[in-house]
Amino acid sequence: MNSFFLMPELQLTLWGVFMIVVESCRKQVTVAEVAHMAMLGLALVFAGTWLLPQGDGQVLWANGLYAIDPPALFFKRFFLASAFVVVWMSIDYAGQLPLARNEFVILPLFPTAGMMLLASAADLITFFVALELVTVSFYVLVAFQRDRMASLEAGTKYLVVGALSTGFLVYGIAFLFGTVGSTSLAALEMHLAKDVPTPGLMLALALILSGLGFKVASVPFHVWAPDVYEGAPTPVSAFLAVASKAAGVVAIMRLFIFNGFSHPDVYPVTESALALMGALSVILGSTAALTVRKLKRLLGYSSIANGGFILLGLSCLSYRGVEAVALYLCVYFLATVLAFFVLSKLGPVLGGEDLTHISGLYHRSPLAACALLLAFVSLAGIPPLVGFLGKLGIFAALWERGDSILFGVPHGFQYLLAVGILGAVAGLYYYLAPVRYMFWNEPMKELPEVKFSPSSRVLVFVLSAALLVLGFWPKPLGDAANTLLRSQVVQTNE
Amino acid sequence: MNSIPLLLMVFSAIACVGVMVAPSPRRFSLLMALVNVPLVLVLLGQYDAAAGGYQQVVSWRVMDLPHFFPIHLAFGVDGVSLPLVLLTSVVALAAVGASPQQVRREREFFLCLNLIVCGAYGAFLSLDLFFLYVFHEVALIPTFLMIGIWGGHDRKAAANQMTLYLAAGSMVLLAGLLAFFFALPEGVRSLDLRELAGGVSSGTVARGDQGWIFLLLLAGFGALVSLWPLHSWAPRGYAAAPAPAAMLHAGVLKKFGLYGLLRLAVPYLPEGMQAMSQVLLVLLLANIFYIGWVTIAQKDLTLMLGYSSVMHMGFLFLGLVSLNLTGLTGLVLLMVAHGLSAALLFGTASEIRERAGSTLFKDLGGLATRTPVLAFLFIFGGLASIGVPGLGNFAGEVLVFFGAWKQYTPWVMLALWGLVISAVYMLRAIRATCYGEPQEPSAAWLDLPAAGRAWPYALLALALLVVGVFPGILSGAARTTLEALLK
Repeated sequence: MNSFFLMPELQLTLWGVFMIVVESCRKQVTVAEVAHMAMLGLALVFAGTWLLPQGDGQVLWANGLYAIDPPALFFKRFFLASAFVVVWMSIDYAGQLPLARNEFVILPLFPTAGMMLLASAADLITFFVALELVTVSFYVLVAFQRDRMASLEAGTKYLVVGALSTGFLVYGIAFLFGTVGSTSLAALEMHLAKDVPTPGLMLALALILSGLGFKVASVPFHVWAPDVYEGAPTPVSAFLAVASKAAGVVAIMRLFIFNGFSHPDVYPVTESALALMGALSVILGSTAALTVRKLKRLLGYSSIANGGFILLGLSCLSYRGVEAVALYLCVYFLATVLAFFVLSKLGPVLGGEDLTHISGLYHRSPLAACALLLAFVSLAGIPPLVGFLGKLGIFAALWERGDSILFGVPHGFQYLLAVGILGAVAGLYYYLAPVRYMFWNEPMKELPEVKFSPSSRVLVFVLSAALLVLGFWPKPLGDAANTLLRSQVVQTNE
Repeated sequence: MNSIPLLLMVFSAIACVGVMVAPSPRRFSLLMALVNVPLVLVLLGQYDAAAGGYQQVVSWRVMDLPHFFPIHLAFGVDGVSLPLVLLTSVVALAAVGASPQQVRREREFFLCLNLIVCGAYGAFLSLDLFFLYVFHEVALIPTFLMIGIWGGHDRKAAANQMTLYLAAGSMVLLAGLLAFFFALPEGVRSLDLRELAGGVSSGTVARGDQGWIFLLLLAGFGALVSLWPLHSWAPRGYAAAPAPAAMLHAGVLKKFGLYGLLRLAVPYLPEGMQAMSQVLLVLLLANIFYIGWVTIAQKDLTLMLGYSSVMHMGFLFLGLVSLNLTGLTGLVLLMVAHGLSAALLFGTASEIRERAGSTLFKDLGGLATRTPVLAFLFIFGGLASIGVPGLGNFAGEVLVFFGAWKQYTPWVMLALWGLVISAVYMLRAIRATCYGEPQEPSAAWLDLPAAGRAWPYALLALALLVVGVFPGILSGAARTTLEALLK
């Protein structure tokens, strides 16, 4: 009974419900007050994760539905931190919304709870419930600006594709249950330890991976991403780009890397599937981004490419690969959130988020321009910014597997590495295009200065400093990534 | 913590931060650059040349992941990096001194400048390949920004081209470094130069792998040093860059590629270098002859200087390929001397541009009668760069030719003609700018001393003279280290 109230998901959900009730009872509350309450709740729950069992092993709660282990803790904190920043950047953004401003800063608590539950899922039922909680909450958030056509369009697209992917996932879970006779991951492992995987099980694997591919926005389940990122309210786009993607990653890790589908016959399939999805995502994301001129759309394609890099790291099925992915997620989080945050400030002032709108931005708002510079340079993987570390880790992991066979091709991972490097080179071009516009062009016309409130200034400074300082002193990141892997057995196919 | 390298890093970092709050960014940057010069001289004095190796080392482990690269933030010097650190300190002081008195967005200008200096120190002082790479990029990004924001004619295209070339070059370099790292056997795999020096020898990397790894490194480092055919960013970039950026990049940063090859290829991939020496020789002769002829054809002073600096890289690579003590000593001397002379030439050329409003040879002339001091310093730099005895470049070039002679006699005989080519274009340039009739006879130009701007260039000229007359200061410090690299 004690453990029940320790569950951070429950605490967060209760806090969210409590806030909605309070908010609807009191008329005179400002968005900032509500947001600060939400942030307080997130911070308390974040601190509360240290009350959970911190040991190296796995502790199962709720009849084996809920697992607490190092990866669960790592990802729970990751999601809470993302939600904290998203609510922070929503304060000013929600002020411009005509309707239901306060709900806009409360709602992100619910997908966060879902994602945290997903990080702890030890059973496919928990898994599915958690994923649906996330997706359904996002349906609301994406279409939040009911009066804007783009937001509605994005919401509809997300709904349709999301429902489809849910279908894939449930179908896969059904096949799995049919084969194994249980939905628990432990049972799946035991089943695979005894029996050879059957075609039904392989089909289940493919279907589940398809459903998760939607979360990570990887090719061929990526179509929604650019449209939705462009149309959704900017803080929601940031949330989708960072936390929702990480949710897909943790699910893939639990099912395919740490345990779950652990059988020598399955590894080559997992490996090839992840590698193929990753490589295609890098190729498509990078090439499509080359011609895009709308910044939020650009970040949409960039998120596809980044998801590809993450999948490439996972496809190595090695310790080095998983470590690299953990690092990559952290550095991607910092840069992406910063970029979306500055864009959410710029959009209303500049009247759009086109490349021409930020032309000469440096001469008008040096802070915004410098923050965007740091974010884009980090995303491009140029040192000394910390994004370099992420790319380096992925490349190293691919290089290490260089001699292995992939898709029946000898040295298949070397081709993946080549794809990765080409993607990074293309990234230099499309990430630096906004930088060229901001710094080397003159402003198109006189526009008001971009104003940052003191609190948003703090956020910009913190994120920028993190991008810069961690590039030279990556120890905290390394330690964080280390907690993820502690005691985990990575299935290797070597 | 009694480490001057660490102090240098701290001071150059303070320069970057302080410039954003100091009342006068220009004077503050000047002060910080000035403080570093005596520090480096003390470092030179304290360095125990006979003992060799890395000295005054400080090190922190900043990455602890069991399967990731172990990364150390470590600073120190040895006989090879010391001359380059000295070069950095002198050129940095001159570049800050040569920066314009009035400049748009002054704080940001000096921030970029100080970042370049900080990156250059970091690149030469770091003892970990990760940070070697990182600090070089620290210096590159502000260089691009400086060209793009404060650059002259054609700045956007030049900055764009330079960014793409150098960023792509860095990417290839990264692949090369990864290849090198994974080619090492499990036990001695490290990015730390100290551990590499202890555990890795010339035969550690398999003979069959050495060649292609060397080629990868050569392509990556080569793009940064403007090795033909990866050079085309350099002349345009330097012509468009504001003077201090051109001085620092052509003078200091460009040496990073050679420094990297000297650090990695010479000690750990010598067989690969031997196997690929014909390739490198052809490329470096292309640098000397093809670019040499292109240089002769230039009609613009800054473009000509840009091409000439590309051309001289051929001689530096000749020193590298010689793979013996004489040639490598020549390489170290020539790196320093070329850095000083390139900085002097780019600095004085920018002074000429400021006064004449043009750098086309047809618009110039009569500099010697109008501004004798400026003309003298320009000619001094020009003569140094074509290897007139008594100045630094001569000492370096002679050793390079001696070093390469034994093994590559026919190639050296060809390369010697490069000296003639460089004499042709430099003397023509001197004639066209300094002598002849002034184009607008009436204008009264302010000479350097009257403008209070003579000292940065005089400093560079003096340094060239010191290196030329007493090359032993540097070669003595480098000797033990180079012997260890060649072992």
